[in-house]
Amino acid sequence: MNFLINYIVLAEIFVIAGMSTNILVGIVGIFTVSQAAIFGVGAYTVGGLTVAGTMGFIPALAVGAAICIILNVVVTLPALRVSGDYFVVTSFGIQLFASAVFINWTDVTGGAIGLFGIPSPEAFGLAVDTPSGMMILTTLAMAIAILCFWLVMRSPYGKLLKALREDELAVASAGKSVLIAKVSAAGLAGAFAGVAGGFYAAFISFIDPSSFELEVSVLLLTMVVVGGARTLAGSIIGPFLLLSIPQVLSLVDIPSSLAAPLRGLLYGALLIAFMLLRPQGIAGQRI
Amino acid sequence: MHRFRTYALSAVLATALAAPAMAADKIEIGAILSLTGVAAAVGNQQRHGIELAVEGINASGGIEGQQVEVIFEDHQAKADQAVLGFNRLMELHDIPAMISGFSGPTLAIAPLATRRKTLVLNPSAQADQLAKASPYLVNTIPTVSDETSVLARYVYQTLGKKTASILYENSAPGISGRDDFRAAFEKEGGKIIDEEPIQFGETNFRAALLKIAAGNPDALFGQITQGTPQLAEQSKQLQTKFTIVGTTNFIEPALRGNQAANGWVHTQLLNSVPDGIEAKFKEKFGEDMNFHAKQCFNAMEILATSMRKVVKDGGKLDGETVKAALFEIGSFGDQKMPITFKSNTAQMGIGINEFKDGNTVQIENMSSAN
Amino acid sequence: MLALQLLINGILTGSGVGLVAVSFGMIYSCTRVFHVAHAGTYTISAYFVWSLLLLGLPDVVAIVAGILLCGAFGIFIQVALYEPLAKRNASQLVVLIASLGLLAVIQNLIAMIFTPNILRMPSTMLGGVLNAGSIAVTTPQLLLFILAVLTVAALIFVSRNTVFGKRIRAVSNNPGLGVITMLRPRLVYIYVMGIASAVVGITGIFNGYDLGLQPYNGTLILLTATVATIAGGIGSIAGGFLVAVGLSVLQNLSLLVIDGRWSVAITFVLFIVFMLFRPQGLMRAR
Repeated sequence: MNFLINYIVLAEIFVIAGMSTNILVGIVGIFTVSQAAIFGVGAYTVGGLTVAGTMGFIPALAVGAAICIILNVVVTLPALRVSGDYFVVTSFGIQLFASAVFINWTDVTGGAIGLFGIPSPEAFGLAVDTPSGMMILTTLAMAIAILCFWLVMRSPYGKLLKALREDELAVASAGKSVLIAKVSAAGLAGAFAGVAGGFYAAFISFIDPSSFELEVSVLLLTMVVVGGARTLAGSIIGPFLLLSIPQVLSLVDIPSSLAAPLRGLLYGALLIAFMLLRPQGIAGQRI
Repeated sequence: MHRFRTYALSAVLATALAAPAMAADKIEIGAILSLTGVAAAVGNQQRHGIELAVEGINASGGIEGQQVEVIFEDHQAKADQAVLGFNRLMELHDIPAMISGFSGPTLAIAPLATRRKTLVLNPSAQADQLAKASPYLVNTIPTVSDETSVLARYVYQTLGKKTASILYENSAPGISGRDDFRAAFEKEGGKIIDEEPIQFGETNFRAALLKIAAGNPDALFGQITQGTPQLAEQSKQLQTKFTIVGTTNFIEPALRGNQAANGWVHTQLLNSVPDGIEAKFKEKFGEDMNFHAKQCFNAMEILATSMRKVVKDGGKLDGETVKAALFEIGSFGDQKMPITFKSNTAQMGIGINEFKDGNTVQIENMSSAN
Repeated sequence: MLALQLLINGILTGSGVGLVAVSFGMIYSCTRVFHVAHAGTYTISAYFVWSLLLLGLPDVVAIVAGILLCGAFGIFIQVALYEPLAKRNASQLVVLIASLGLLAVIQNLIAMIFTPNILRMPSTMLGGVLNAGSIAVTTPQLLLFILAVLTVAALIFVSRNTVFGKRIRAVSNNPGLGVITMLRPRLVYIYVMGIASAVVGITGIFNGYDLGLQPYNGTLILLTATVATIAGGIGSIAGGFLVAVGLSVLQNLSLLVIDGRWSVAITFVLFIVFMLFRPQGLMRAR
């Protein structure tokens, strides 16, 4: 049972993280591959603060979220100056720079050795150190995140964001500030990624730079696309489905020395099949 | 597509529920290694070492009649994948013990091993933090600090090299090694001129070598786990003047026959496998048995010996009992090259080797520092 | 002295990265596909040659055959994957993800067939080293540099001065119009993928001789190359090449002043800053 619970916890964490990518890429249309970096900042902040005993989990989460909001705004600002195609690579650069900081700023992040012994979260005085307890906490967090996402998308603000993707010029000429809209979307996305990162650190109890590399940003992107960009259902389905694939594949008994790369190959093949057969994702509208 | 998802989840559920019933009369051991990704070469050697050992164990009657089966998980040298793999192993199988590879991932699962009271054997990773990471983590290999203190003393006193620079992999064992060698060498009275990092998996050392050469050290301590043949060739091409020294990382079949490595000096943890095993390995897998494969072979043997004792004494196989048996037995391997456990970390003999004519040859024999 | 050595090392390595950048840029500016699986072509090129050498072919033949095989491989990808996606009106993001899936397939397939061990080319033909004072250049490095410069020059020439080149540029600018005016964009895409894949094979093969072959190492060089393509100005061959060389030189020379751990990071920071001041890239497309 724990195996299933662990899978659910991880999937829920990625649902929250994936929402950050969904907001920027799916809804606003800013193609970013640096969300894993923000996720990492959230993880290191919460990890660092709770390991040292400086703060409890919830306060650390708040600090992490605040830092990530600011950071994501700063990191998305270049998108205002640099157009779509070019911003992708700027975003690459930001992610790579962040990875380099994670691995080299040893005093803060522990460098390549990582941070270990991150304590389980305690919420309202109770320690949460069983997998099922963790699952309750993450489900709660995910529910709150879903609610936020849903409310935002339904609000006039959400409609404004959607309009940005369609026609920026129209939005501007309607008197709305494009800058404020984009910046606030970036901030919101930052909050989601940072909170997800904090939960991740508490769940895995050991983090190192390898968990926050470009690959993970790409995984988030993939989850969004496969799940269905721009929709709430897509944000939920994507992570659950994509995280289940390696788990299912590892259950399939491939009794040969080629098992590991074969699974990698099957994962890749599945992605291709998905894009050919259902590019709008499971729950998505055409993007 | 919804159907796919339902099938996937039902498959997971079904197998999760069915699995415990299947583990009836065989013993399942776990192994979490880096089987894909940049470190796959090492992981696969480790896997082969374990497979060969299990074959032998099962052929000679298993553990008091019970066959052994190893369940492999791939952590891709990543901490979170190691945690997931550990959880999968523990949930879907009845596992008293497992073998793990690489420092980062092993450090990641150490607290989980403590919580679950599962025995984890680490035969290959040497980061210093591993010594105290968990009471249930037993390192069948000394940490890197043992080797570096022996090496530093030899380099300074016997070879007479007074200055050295360090080339290290930017990873847990690389940084451990760098810090330990620096401390040991400076303690001897030597001076460290320069330290250059190399990204994990990189095989182009030229820029780092050029910078190191400019500082003109007498020796270069190379703490890298991959790319040693490339390091040898590139330093040859750049006609570097320093002597390259290192630890057991330099025992690499890829370096065998490579004339570019002549003159390299390194420490060698003295491990051995029974006669004929290396030939069997070559025959079965088509490649030479490297240090890590031997370590994993021996680790599996250590596990088997400990488990036999538990079963003979009528106990139930779990992390606690196997661990207790291991420490009771205390010493494994043969008389010439024993592996002894006075703490969670093994003590092994350490030799000094030098590369001559494309082959590494032992020139001295020291013993482990503690 | 060290500075000079690092400079030369940077130029040599950079020329190889430049070919990857130029070829990636060709594909992107013409077909608008973010072909990440290009890293797979880079990796597989060395394995093609390795296999051919093992079959007994002489080096020169194996290398030429390897390059041609890469071209064919690229065409195969275009026809088997990107065309069907285009027919379904897939968005750029969807194509990117498909390309990622393809890269995973290629890398793991190589690992399954050739094992993940680092292999060496079974040939000593390119084992020479030239030493001039304290500068050392290996034969593969030198050959790669020469071929890179020649290839880039040839590509620029073809692009500007031949009908074929003009046709490619026309289709890049306006595929719709290209269809109407019978330029047959589909065929142009095939040509471009073929040529670009062959070009990236050059770097892959010679790096294979110089540094060894491994299945999972194509991604890092592709990353630097994509950065160079964009910073150089999409559509500009010379721009992409120059920025690639520049980045490589910068990474090498930065060792003089900062700790090696930060050299990759600093280059990307400078890139980001550069993009803020010159968002259209170094050179405009021609």
